[in-house]
Amino acid sequence: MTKTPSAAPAPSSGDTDLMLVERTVAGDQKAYELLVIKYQRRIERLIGRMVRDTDLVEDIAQETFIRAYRALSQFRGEAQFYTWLYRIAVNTAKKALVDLRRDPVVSESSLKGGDDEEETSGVENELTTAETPETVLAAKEIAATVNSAMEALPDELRQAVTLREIEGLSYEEIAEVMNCPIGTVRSRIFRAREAISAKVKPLLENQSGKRW
Amino acid sequence: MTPHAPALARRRLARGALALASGAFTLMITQALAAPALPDPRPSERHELSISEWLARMQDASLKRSYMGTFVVSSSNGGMASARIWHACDGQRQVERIDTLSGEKRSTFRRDDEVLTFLPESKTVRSERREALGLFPELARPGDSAIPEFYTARRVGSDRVAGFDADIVQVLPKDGLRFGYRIWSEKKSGLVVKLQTLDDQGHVLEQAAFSELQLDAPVRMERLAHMMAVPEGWRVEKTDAVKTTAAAEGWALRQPVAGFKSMSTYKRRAEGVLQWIFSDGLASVSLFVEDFDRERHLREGVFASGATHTLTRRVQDSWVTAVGEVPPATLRAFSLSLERRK
Amino acid sequence: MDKQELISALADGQLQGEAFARGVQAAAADAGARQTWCAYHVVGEVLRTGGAAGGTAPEAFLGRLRERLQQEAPAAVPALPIAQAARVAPAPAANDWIWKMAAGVASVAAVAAVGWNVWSGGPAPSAQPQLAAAPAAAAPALAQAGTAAMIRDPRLDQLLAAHRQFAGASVLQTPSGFLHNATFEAPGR
Repeated sequence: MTKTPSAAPAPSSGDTDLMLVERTVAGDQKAYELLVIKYQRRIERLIGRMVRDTDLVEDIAQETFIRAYRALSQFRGEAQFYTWLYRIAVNTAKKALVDLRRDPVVSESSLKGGDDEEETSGVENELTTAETPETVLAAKEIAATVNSAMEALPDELRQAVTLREIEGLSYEEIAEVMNCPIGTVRSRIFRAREAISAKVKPLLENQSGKRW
Repeated sequence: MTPHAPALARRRLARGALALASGAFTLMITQALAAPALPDPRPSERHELSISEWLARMQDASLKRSYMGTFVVSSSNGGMASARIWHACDGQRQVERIDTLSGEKRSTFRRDDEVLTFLPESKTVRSERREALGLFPELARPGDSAIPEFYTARRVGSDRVAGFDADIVQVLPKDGLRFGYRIWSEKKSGLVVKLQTLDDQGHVLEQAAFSELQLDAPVRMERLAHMMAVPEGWRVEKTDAVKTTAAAEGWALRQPVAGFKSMSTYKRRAEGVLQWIFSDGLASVSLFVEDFDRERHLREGVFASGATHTLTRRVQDSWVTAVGEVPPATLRAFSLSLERRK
Repeated sequence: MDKQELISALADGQLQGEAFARGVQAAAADAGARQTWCAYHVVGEVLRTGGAAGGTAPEAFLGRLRERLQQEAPAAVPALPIAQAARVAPAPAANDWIWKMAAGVASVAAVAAVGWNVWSGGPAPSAQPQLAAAPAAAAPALAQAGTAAMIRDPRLDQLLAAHRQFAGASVLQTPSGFLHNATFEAPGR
């Protein structure tokens, strides 16, 4: 069983984010694009839960990434990058809500006890924010494709990618568990990802600009 | 609205059987904000609060104050969950809304003990009545509570969370059957703004905290309540749990597990499982008991997710799944003590 | 390592220095590479949470964002390199929690949010002390004995949910039951 001689702990995703931030600050905007792609969907989902208006979701997400970019030099890595980004997203969305007076529950002028302009707005309007039946279906299809692709994998590939993605083990730890060299771990994870994403990619960008 | 002494109001809320105010119940926000001021001991006095007093203060704030904010829960395995919360209280009734910001889309509304959970992705609403929602009746009678017997508390410092100054209270267990906690309690109101669950080494298993918070926000109670209307075409599911007692179902504990009292038992008929719930005031344990099925019940063992542990075990002809925010040893003690009586 | 493998290693934080720089170039090179970077992360998300967040198509989003970024001043270089400040305190310190439970801890295994049960049998291939009654013909997705096996168990998730729903008898359920009602997004790796 091979074990790395150095004592340095393997970098985790947290460190990847930090390295990408450093590289952006050093002048490589492409590094920032990788961060954007990594977190764009999650940030949009977060915002979509707070904001009713579909069109607004992308705008707020864009605004979030712009503000993060501006503040990047202040990110010191003492928190996880996503946590930091998350806060920016929530604040940006809140600001948008306040600007548009769209928080459904809070009243701006609290003393005007009286009446609501709108109806009894009911949960349906509140909750079916940024999703249509098509987008929900698309997301389900992607999940189903990943799962069936996983099952079709040879055992050692499936195990490697599972230990990495779900268990969060480092390559070193996986090498120990699977009793193989680190290079083999890297190769197995890569091959598993390739096999699965080959099936997923067609579903990811059906038409440019359209939501999925 | 007639004023009530705080203790009386607490007890009435605790019973979950508030008689609705007679007639139309209109709420004036100004009145909500003018709710009786909660006691605010000076720092030196706060040092000497007993654990029951700390906890009572925290519970009071979570019930009586209006607030809204974003809440983030993080688990030691790296998992994270977040939600937006609105809570309004007019001194007697409470209305609350929680929208998940991560994971499955879910909106939970609570009006006193009535809970509706909206799942837009499946156009389903789950309807249930919850007892003892975060309410521990024993706190109304501090002398009776078991908490001081099994936990100690002391203030260990101050910190700022989500823009609020908070006292940090360290709650430690006196034995190995439960976890410790570090609780950030907002200085003026006592509201819990951050909470860590600690194992016996002091490692953080789970953390929950407001990332942003507006205390005494003008949350409009009627608007929240109006949102509880079920939209057309949605399916309503009522939880199938029927209240019963363990004894009536033929189950008992040979030996009680120190500090844990039996709270309630439910039969979930459709699933054929019994749920027996225990609590020591801060942590709870559910024992799920069902008939042993060779096909389905394959793995005995212990699992963990943050502070929550699960243990599965065969007990005679039954299969037991013990779940709780307690160390595995506690679940083991429960599973070893459970027996069938007929 | 070919380009795709580089992107995979980059996603796992396995690249340093020169290799890292090449990895960034490879992953951001063109729409296809970016799609690979995106797809790898979507796969990870589905595995951890059982679902994938939808949203605006990534290339379109990025295209629009790039236009706005052109107008921004470049992210300023701070007086003190971030590298120094950040590396000083490795992982837990500021956030004071442990990020994962060690693999191979005999009696405790981690349950990921959507019912992937981790069965940690420890390093010795034959030792599975906690498996009392596992039959040889177990669920097809089980990997070899002695290594971590992953199986979905929706039943366990169901009971977990029922516990969180009903066992709210604690003053620390703040706010009312949310703490233990949470469905965790499993760790982003």
